[in-house]
Amino acid sequence: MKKCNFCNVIIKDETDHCPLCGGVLEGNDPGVSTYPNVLKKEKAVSFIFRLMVFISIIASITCIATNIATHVSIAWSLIVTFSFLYVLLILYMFVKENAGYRVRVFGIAAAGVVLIILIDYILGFRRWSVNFVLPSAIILMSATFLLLMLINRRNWQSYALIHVGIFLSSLIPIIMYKFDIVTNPYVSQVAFGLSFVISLGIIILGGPRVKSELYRRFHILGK
Amino acid sequence: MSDKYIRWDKLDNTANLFPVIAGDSLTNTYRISATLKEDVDQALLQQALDIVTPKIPGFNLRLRYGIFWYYFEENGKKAPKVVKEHTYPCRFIHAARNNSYLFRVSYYGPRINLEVFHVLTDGMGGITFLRELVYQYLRLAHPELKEKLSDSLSPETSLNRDDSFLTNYKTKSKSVYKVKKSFLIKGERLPHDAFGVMHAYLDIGELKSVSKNKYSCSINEYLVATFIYAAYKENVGRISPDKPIRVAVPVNLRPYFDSITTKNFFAMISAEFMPEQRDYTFEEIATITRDSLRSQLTKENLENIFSYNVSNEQMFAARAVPLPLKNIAIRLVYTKSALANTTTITNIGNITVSDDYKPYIEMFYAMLAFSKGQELKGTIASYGNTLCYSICSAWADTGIQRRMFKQMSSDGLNVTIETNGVFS
Repeated sequence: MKKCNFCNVIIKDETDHCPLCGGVLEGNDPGVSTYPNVLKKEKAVSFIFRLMVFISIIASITCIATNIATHVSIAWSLIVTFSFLYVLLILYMFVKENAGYRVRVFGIAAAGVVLIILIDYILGFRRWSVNFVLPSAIILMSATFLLLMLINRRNWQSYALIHVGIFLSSLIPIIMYKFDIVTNPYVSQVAFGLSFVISLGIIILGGPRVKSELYRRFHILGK
Repeated sequence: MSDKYIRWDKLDNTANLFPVIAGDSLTNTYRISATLKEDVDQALLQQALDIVTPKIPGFNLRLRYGIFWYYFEENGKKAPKVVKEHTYPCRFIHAARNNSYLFRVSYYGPRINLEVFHVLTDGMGGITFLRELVYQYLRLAHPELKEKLSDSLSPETSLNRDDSFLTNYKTKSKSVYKVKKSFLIKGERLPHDAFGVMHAYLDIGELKSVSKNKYSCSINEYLVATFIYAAYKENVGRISPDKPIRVAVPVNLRPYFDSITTKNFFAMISAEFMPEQRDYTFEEIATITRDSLRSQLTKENLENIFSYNVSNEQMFAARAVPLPLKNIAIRLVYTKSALANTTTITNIGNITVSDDYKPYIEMFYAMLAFSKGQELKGTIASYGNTLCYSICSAWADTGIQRRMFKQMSSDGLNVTIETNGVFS
């Protein structure tokens, strides 16, 4: 081991300089490195994300400027901008290390529906997005999480609340129909019926395991 | 479809804070390491972890979101993968990529590292788990130990998961928190956001004699005083009575309240140094530190500190607020109070092991992740007759550490320094 005469301490490290004062150490012992040499490397994925943000901003500004300059009545440049935002969100969901797959599936689907409604709105709101796409997305989510529940058998009960959430979201197009935003209710009714049957089935057939899952999720006072 | 009952549990009062504020830049992760007298075999360590994890209920957990509160649920998945250490210590534990577990195990040469997200437990729970893991590893690596000792948990291991905050709090407690500003250490960060680690190894006999005979302090008070003295000397002009040096010192509450819980059970007291004159000697600072800490170290004061938090948590109106709103409130309060301390210095105490395993174990030590406003923190752990004072820092400058260890060596202590190589 080497010694720093200025600090009067022994240095175990594999170094010629004192980590405290920078002075030259005395002694011939080579020392030991007890930690790995870590140089934080920028992840390539993070660079791709930043590159995409940069390209999206430049492309969106160019499109908006072209849209304004050419006096086209449809705001097509907004469709491009929102689509870029959506792609960035998907990328972000994958870069974000702590996002579980449920958050990813839910986030990507919900943002996708919002994007499609915006596109419909920009194109004159002929309501195809709320009549068909929104309820279809709800049906797709019900089916996806039912499948995941069957795959993840050990923790199947943890999907119960998600199905209740999907059922609650299936009420949105039904309410929209009452306010004449949705004009063709058939797909919405199928989505409502399907998510209702699945949620009720899980709660009744799931027995004590689902009951206890819901109790935990809603606990206010603890055990 | 499985119909097995899934064990679940509430978070303790302190733990409620951690999931809200934790992230890559504020990890709330601590590390406890054991250095063996032989190099660690990855496969055997994995095997040991696979055996130990399901046996310790306080670690076999995953964190879940309720509508009103976070809660723990039995995990039951395969234990996290043991890896060779290849990153800086105390990084954030991404449960989604760690089989939902809230701890990780790595190794490097003869060292086994256990890193724990503070939501699970404090240092005492971490020590319990690491000790069992090391015992199990040694039994696998040395069949003669396995023949002599059975593969079950050791008798000194507590599996108790009581919420001791809840059983011991006093209702109608007033806030003892004084949200005041404190002096914060500033400087240039280490390149590449490195995590600087510096361990100082000290002889306990020498330390005891110096702190007691020379300064009439306990070892802990002496070590806290060296930090205050160093921070003061390095920043004389910048420390004023309205921004004093304040060192948060977590106190293990178990001995005060007769608890053996492996959940969090600690309270923070703080050593305060408010300079009124221009020049202070180390002796004066040691006396101020000692008096400041001792005045707060009474059962009644400790009870007041945590009772206020617990009584707030127990109010029904507060309990019934949905979790996302609670999180906003917790974040606001935390941001305000986080800057009330210059640093945190924690002493996880003397780690003991059973005689059968002593010949195989060299040392134990621990470290805390630094956080915003407190980019330099100290952790003290000891084993046998050696104490390890570990300083983790984000700052490139090591002036404070230099003054601390120089003070110790000028007091006649033999100081041996080890770093993770980022300072040179």
